[in-house]
Amino acid sequence: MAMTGINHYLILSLILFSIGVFGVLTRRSAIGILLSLELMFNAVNINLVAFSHFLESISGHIFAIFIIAVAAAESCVGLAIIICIYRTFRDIRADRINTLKW
Amino acid sequence: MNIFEATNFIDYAWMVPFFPFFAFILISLFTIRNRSLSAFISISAILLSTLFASAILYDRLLAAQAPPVIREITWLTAGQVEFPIGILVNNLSAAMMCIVSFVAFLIQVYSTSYMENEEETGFCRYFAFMSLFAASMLGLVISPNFFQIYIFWELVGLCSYLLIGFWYRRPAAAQAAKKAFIVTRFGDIGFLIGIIMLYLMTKSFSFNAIPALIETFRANPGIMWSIVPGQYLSADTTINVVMFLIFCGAIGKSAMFPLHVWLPDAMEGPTPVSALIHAATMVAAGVYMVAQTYDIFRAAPHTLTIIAFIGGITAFMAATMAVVQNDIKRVLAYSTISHLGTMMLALGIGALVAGTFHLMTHAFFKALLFLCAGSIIHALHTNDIWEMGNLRQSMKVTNAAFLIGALAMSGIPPFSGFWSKDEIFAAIFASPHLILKILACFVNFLTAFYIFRVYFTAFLSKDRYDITPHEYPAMTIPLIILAVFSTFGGFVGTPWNNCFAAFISPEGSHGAHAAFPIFPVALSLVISLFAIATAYALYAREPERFEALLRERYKTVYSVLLNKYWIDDFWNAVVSVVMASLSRAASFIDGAIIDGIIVNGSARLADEAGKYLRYEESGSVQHYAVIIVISIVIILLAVGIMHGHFSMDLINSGGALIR
Repeated sequence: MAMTGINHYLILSLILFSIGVFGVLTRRSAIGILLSLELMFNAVNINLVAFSHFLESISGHIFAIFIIAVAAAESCVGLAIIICIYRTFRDIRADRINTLKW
Repeated sequence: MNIFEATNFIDYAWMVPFFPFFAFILISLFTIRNRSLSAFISISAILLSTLFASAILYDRLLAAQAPPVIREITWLTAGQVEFPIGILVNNLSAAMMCIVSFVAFLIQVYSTSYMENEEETGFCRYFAFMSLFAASMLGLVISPNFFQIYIFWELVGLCSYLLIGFWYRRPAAAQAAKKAFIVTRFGDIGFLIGIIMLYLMTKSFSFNAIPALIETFRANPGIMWSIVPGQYLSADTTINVVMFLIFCGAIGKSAMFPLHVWLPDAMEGPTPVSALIHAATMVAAGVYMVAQTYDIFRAAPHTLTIIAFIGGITAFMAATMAVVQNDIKRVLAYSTISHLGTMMLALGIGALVAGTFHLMTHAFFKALLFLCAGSIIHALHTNDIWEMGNLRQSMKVTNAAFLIGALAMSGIPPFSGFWSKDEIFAAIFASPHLILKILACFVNFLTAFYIFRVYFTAFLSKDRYDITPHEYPAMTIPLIILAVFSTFGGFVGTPWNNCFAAFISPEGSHGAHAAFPIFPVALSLVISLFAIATAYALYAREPERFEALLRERYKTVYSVLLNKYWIDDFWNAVVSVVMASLSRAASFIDGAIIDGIIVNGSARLADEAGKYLRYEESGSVQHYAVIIVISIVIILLAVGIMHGHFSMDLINSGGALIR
């Protein structure tokens, strides 16, 4: 069996990222969008860790840890916004919340 | 320490214009609602100026041979050009400063009474402007260079605009103010171009330095102009052209033909303003400028000849027009133009001393005549000489003062006008131009004739009004003082002891003065007496009948003169054809292209585009997200294609960077 090289990790990350993007663009529920966002973050993290390993540099690890921490905070804010949106619109479906327009 | 011993007054010459300027600021900012305080500030400021100017003149009189005092500092620097400001005190500017401030002082005292019917703010505004006017003129007088004189030159123009249009609610006054400003601007453009060209030639603005530098230029022109491509003007021609351009400023300001049209209309202002404009400020500025820079004009003999002829033509035309006017102020206005022409004529033929001497005596007797006219107008509320008459009985001081002014103007000894006018007359007869001699004789006759026409009609004959005219002390006292100066002012320049000539041009007076020729003097005196006799015969008893008779017999002449030689119409035509078509073109460019296409067009573009693009704003977040993703993909593809590496190169180089 061939050695797992950097390309394998990159392809995994690409797949995860694409799933995330697809989710963000198509999920109707705001919660779903938030979950898909997390997928995208983690795709990026995989990328960073892979580069970190193969290029023998610690920077990527540090970035990844930062992103995990920031993503946790971001999820909190995102959920809080969703609660506010629910209180205003009684709905969290993204396609229904479209009053800010022409 | 005694300040009067320890300091030299000349070093404080800048304070002479400063006092009235400060008064202007005080009045316009703080006392605009307080009549008596405003008048007090204004008059005390100009009085201080007068005292300072007298002290300076006294200093100069003690040391007339001393070189001029010049103090200059660099005011600002633009690239390599340095703009200096400072003071210049020579004998001419010291004398002029004294006369300007003194006449302005008398006129302001007179104005307290003349303007008493104005409402508060108008009264205070009047004194503020008068102060600014005096400050500008005094600043002009002490200017040591062309740059500074141009600043004050324009300030004087501005003040004349403000004061001629003082009663701005009267359309005629507003029109006249605009006319004065715009017509003098015509000349000022030439003045400005001349100053700039002179600077390019000599690299200097200074009156003192230019005469030597211009000779250097003549020997070795560092810059040349061409009108036809390839053909350059010679140094001589350039100097003459430049000096003529500078003289253009004087044409506008001193109301020389063909830009004299603003001066008669300027009579719409209050009469003391007319007196100030005509006697000591504004119109004197042009003559003064030529006299002060006479050493530079000497380098341009052809320009001087042109100046002489323009002066002669102006003097003659204005004198003829004065004969047919019925408005007392307009007669005086035309007479001012005529006298300014005479002064320019004198300067043009090289009689610097005679020209400046006449400027000074004229300042006194013309101020006197105008203030007399103001006194009459204030009493009778009319400008028309045919509504006056027999004022000899009711206005005794005014009568005596006007008579003295008229005699001084006609050149009857011993009044001041005689000495200056006959000096000019002698100089003209010593010059080679026959036409100028003939013109001078005509002007001499007409001057005495028109002023005595007014005198006899207004002060003798019968009264034509049903009120009793009164005189006011604030008005008569200045009249008496001016009358004294108009009577005795000429004795400083008598032919046998010409202190004035020695003072103004110490390095050697003009050849004509050495032996005072008796023939021209006798001739001019005979002409003046004859003119007065003619005026007496026609206007002393039955002026209406003879006026009607004259108008009937010389219909054509009168129509030419009443139409002012159609010069006003000529300018109107020029303005309405040339200016109007230029304005229309400018208006089209502004309206259709700049406003229409550029300004409104860009707004319309944004408006129209927005109408359709706004539907892009759907409000749905995911819609935006799709656009963002697509955009990022496109950008990434574009960057990748442009750099041509869709491979591990990117990663490799990134890795190299991290390491």
